[in-house]
Amino acid sequence: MKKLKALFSAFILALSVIGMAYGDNIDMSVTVVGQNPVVDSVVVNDASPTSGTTTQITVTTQVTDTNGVDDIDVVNASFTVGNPANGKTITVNMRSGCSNVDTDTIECSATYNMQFYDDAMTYTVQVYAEDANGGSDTGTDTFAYSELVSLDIDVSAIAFGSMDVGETKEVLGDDTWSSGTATIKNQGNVLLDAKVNASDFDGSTDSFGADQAQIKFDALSYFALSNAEQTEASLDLAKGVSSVENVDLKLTIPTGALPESYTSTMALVGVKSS
Amino acid sequence: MKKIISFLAMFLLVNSLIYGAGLGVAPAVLKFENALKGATTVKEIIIQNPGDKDITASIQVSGELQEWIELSSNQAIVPAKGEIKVSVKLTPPVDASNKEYASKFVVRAQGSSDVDGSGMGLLPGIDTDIIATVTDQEIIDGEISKILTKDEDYGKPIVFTIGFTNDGNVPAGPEVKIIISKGSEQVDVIEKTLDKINPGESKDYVVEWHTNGKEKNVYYRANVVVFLNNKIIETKENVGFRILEPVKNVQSATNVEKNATNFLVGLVLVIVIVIVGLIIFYLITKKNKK
Repeated sequence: MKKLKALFSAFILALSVIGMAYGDNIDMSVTVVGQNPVVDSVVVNDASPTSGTTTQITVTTQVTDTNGVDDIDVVNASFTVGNPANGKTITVNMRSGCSNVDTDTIECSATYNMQFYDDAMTYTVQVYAEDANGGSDTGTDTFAYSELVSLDIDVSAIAFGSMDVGETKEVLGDDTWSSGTATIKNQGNVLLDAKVNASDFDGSTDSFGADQAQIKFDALSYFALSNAEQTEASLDLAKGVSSVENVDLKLTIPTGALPESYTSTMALVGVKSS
Repeated sequence: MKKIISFLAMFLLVNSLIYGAGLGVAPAVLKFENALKGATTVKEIIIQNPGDKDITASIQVSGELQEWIELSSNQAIVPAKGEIKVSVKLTPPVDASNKEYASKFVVRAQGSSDVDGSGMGLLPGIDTDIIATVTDQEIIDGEISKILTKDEDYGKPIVFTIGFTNDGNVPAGPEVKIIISKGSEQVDVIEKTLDKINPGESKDYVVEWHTNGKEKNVYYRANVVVFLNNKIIETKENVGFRILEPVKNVQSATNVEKNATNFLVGLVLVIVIVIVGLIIFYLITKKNKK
C-alpha cells in the first residue's frame, strides 16, 4: 500500500515538475463587444397591378453584423406607409431563408402578393434586423404601385333573337359574374367610367342605325348608342374584390327594316373616372 | 318551321355568348415630366388580358402628342391571362412650346363580333392618359438605391455595387470616390466616373479594388461618396470588408510538418513524465526502506 501511495505521489510530483517546466502558457481573456446589426440595403422594385389577380413584389435586403452572420437572429419586413389588402406584415422572420454573402453579411428576400385593387400609391417597406443581444437596425425602401385601368365583360355578344318591325326588346344584364347575361367588372384599382360606341346594324341587304339600340349601366338611364363615343360618367364602378354592375341593352327594329339578320359591334371601353 | 329556324339561330347565338373578354392598361396616366426638347425619353405601358382567350389589340395615340410619340407596336396579340409591354418614345421637337401637353392611349380589341344571328358583338377597350411637360431646361438628377460590398479572397477584386437611377432629362452618370482605410491608416482612394445612362433608366455599377499586395485577414472600411454633376448625392461610411486567405483544398506541407512536430513533443513529454516519476518513486521507496 505504501508503494502504491509512493507511486501515485511520484507521478503527481512529476506532473507538477514538468508542468512548471513547461508552464509558459498565460491565461488570456477578452470580452468582444456586441455590435448591432446594420441593414445595408433594402430594395423593392416598382410594380403594376395585374388585372383581376395578384402581383408579387420581392423585398431584397442585405444585413451586416460584424460579430458574424450567426449573430443575426431576426430579419423581418413590413409596410410602414400604405395598407395593402393582404396586411402590413410581409414576413415575420425571413432569417432562415437568408444566404451568407460573406462572414458577416447575409442577403434575404421575401415576397408579398399585392392585390389588383390595392391603392395606387408609393408604399414604404421597412426591414428590421435584430441580433442575439437584442441590438437592432432598420432600413427602408419605397416602391410605386401604379394605377391600372381594367374592365372585363362576361359575355362577348348580346342576342336579341327574332323581332318584329316596330318591336322593342330589352336584354337585361345582372350583377352575377359569368351568369350568361351581361356584367362588367372592375379588374383594376381606379374608379371606372365606361365609354361606348357601336357600328350600324348591318344585314345582308339592309341596315339601320346604331341609335336604334340603347344601353344603360346599373340603375342609370338608358341612352341611345351612336357611331361616336359617349361616356357614361356617372358609372363610378368602384375598385374591389368583386366590383360588378349589370349592362342592359334595348333594341327597337325601325319601320322599313327588311326581314333578315342584323349585327352590330359595340366597343365597351373602360376609362378612369375623373 | 319559321319558329324552329329562329330557335336554332338563337341556340347558336347563345352558345357564342358564354365567354367574355377584358383589357387592362397600366399606368392610368403615363407622365413625361420635364421632357427635353429635341431629346428622346422612353417609357412603357403594360397591356393586360384578364380573359381566357387571346386578344388582338390595336394601340394608338390620339391628341396633341400624337406626332411626337413612337410606339414599339401599333397592334399586338395579348395572350389570355397575360400581358405585353409597349415602349413609348417621346421626342418633343426643338420648336415646341414649354408647357404641359395631354394625349390618350386608345387600346381596342380587334376582331369579328362573334354574333350568329341578330345581335351585337361586344369588344373591350381601354383609354388612358399621357401627360408630358416639355421644357428646354436640362435637368441632371438621380438617386442611389444601394452601395454594397463583400469580403473577397486574396487575388480577387473587392467589388463595390452602386445602384443609380437617372431622374433627370438628359443622359447622366455618377462619379464615385471610395476612401479605403485599415484602422486609422488610409490605404487607398478610388475615384471613378461611371457611364452615363438615359433618363428614367437604372443601373447597378461595379467599381473594383484590386487586392493583390494588400494585407490579408484584416478588417478594411470604406467611405463611399457619390457625386452627380459635382454635387454629393449619397454618402455611406464604414462599409466593411475583408481580404480573405483563399481556402486550399489540400492540406499544406507546413501544416503537416506542424502536426508532426506537435506529436513528437507530446511523445517526449510523456516519456519524460514516466522517467521522472520512476526516479521519484525510486527515491521515495529507498527513503522508506531506511
